[in-house]
Amino acid sequence: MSPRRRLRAATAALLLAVLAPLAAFAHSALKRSDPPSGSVLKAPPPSVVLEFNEPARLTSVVAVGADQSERKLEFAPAGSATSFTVAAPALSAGRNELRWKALSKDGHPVSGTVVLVVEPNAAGR
Amino acid sequence: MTLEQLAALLKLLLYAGALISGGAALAWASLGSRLGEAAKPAPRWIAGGAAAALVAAVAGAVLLLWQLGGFDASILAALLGSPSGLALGLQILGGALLLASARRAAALPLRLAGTVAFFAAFGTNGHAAASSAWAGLLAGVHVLAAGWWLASLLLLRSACRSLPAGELAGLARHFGRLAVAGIAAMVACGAVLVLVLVPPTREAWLTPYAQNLALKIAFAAGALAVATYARTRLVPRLEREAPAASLALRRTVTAEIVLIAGALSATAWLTTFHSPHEYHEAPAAQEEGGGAPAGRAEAGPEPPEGGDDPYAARVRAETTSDLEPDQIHQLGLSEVKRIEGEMLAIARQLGFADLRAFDSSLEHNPALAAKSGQELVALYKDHLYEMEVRLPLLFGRLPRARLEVVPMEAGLEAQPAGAAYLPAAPDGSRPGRLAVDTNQATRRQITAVESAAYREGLPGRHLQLSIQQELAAPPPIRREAGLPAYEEGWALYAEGLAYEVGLLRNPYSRYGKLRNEMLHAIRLVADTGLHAKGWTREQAVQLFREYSTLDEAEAHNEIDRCIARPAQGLAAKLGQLKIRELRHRAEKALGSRFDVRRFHDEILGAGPLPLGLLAQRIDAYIAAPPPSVESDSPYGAHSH
Repeated sequence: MSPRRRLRAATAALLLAVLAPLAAFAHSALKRSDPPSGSVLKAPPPSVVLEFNEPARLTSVVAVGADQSERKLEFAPAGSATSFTVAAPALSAGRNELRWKALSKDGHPVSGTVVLVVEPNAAGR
Repeated sequence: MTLEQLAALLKLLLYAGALISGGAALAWASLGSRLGEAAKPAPRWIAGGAAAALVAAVAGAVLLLWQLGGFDASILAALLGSPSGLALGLQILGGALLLASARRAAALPLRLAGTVAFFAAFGTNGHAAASSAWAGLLAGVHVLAAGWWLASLLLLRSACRSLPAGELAGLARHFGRLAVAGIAAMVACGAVLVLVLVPPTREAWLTPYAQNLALKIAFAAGALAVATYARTRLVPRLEREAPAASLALRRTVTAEIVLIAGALSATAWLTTFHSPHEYHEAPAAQEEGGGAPAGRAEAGPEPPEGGDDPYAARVRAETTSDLEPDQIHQLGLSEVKRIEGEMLAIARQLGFADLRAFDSSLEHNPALAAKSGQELVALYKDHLYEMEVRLPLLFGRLPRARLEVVPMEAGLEAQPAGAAYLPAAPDGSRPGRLAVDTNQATRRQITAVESAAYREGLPGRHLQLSIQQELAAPPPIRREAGLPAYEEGWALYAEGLAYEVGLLRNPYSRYGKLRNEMLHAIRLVADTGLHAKGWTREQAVQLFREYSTLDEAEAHNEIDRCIARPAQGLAAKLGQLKIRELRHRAEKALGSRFDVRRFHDEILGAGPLPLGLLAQRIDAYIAAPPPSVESDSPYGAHSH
């Protein structure tokens, strides 16, 4: 290997080292939800509130039921806000995952999951 | 490759393209006619950079849409209405203007408009822009200056080849003068942004964001150092040492470009994977469903509201005892105190003021260390012989299965107990075996050997398990299945029988027995403390450190076991205490009619029983004690 090639190889190695995954990222984040994630509810909640630590743009909320069925949920407001309300999520009995996605203030996509469990006999199934 | 890594690479392509394209437009305009022949590649850099930036911007937007939930009108509207959408528009506008202007030499206004659009995009979106409009403006100027620097270097690199030394020197000096102002602006804006995004505190600079930022600053500082070298050392030599100095300048310029590329890569990575929020606010992952929605700082399971206490259920399952966790805790405390008192009596008898001093002297007493593995095996054999001849004083029924003492097989060693019992084959084809851990024998204290021989061998595990195997009445599964509280409890009870037949005479061996028993007593306190009384790990570690000779790591191992298998560590001590209690009950009820041999036969005669059933069996025995039975064991019959 010529010195120049060696230099190029070293440069490439350095760039690769820089690009190697450094893990961990955190931009806007969900501060809390109402009902809180992990709640076991006697009845399906009339609405779910998602609250962020700073203004963000919620872009998608999908409910995944115990049977793995997916439903897109409507929410308000559209645009930038710290608090969003999912009206009438109509959660089914058992474990429900609300998978949300949002655009954070600094332009990054962020996402997460709120888990709500509805007691089986309460949902009227 | 993850979506995030793809996003980082697209961002790097966007940064590089926009900086080179817009920067080349500025560099071309500012270095002007001095570029001469070297101006030729400028349009190519402008067009190539703009094309790369356009592709990267559009691909990045598509990727972002995908990450935001898919290609849906409402999601597209949300994106376009955000600062990200504005930045995307500016990038597309700038890219289109620069691409259109590249081929036309006279299109300076068009080029500058495109350049402004490109750099404005950096000021409208991102970490800086999100913090304030001023920070966004600074970010735009910072990137503009960096782009000018990078593109000027690319043109200068071509000039090192294409221009004669005199012209190259003129160009390099002109660039050097402009660079002082340009780079000063870049550094000043960058420094202010760093202060805005990362406060000058230790915690803030320990976040991954700040550390990645430091990497970027290191790259930039390296480029600045090389630039200073070129300006002060190489440029003055250009006219005197023409071809060599041109070549050297070309190399240093290449080095600067590589370092700036490093800084750009670090920035793309930084802004994709990290966020200044790492300092301002811890990630709120705990609020989400995945990891620890109901997580708590305390160890072990938490009782559900209004439900049964899962720990009490574990206690019943592991120990078959009906004691409440709180009763077990108190029992443990009183046992710890009782055993400590007995240990202290031995230490004082041997002339030591407290247990710490005594333990330390034991550790450093060469007379108490085994000489060899063979010696250890021989010691076990001696103690077991002494016990074996006395067994008829304690038992009516004795096992037919023989017990042999062997060195432990390699690979099974490092037993904390020092020896492990392997039951005989049920068909009698192989005797029970006490395997002695002879690994690092000279580092083992022999104080624990005598009681371990009784506990693991006779009248402990071998006697109990062999009798269980030899029982005629119960179905085969009951001859093989075990119950920890009964089995471990018997072993711990059995080692204490040595006192009754005149063994464990040596105070050091008595102390060794108490040390082992103490560990079981501490477990009663620690396990119930952690799971039922809200103890912290530190409290439990403290308890082990105070009352046992375990070191810090061993104490943590004990706690980990309590947490991983709640109540499991309670079985031995609760079983032992139960058998003792039943014995006192029988002695008291039967008075002079009490026969310890018949009592032990009764305890062992039905195989492992839950402690409640064992108590019923003993109560029945107390109500109608049968006459003593003759032994049918190879140890011979006895009379009394």
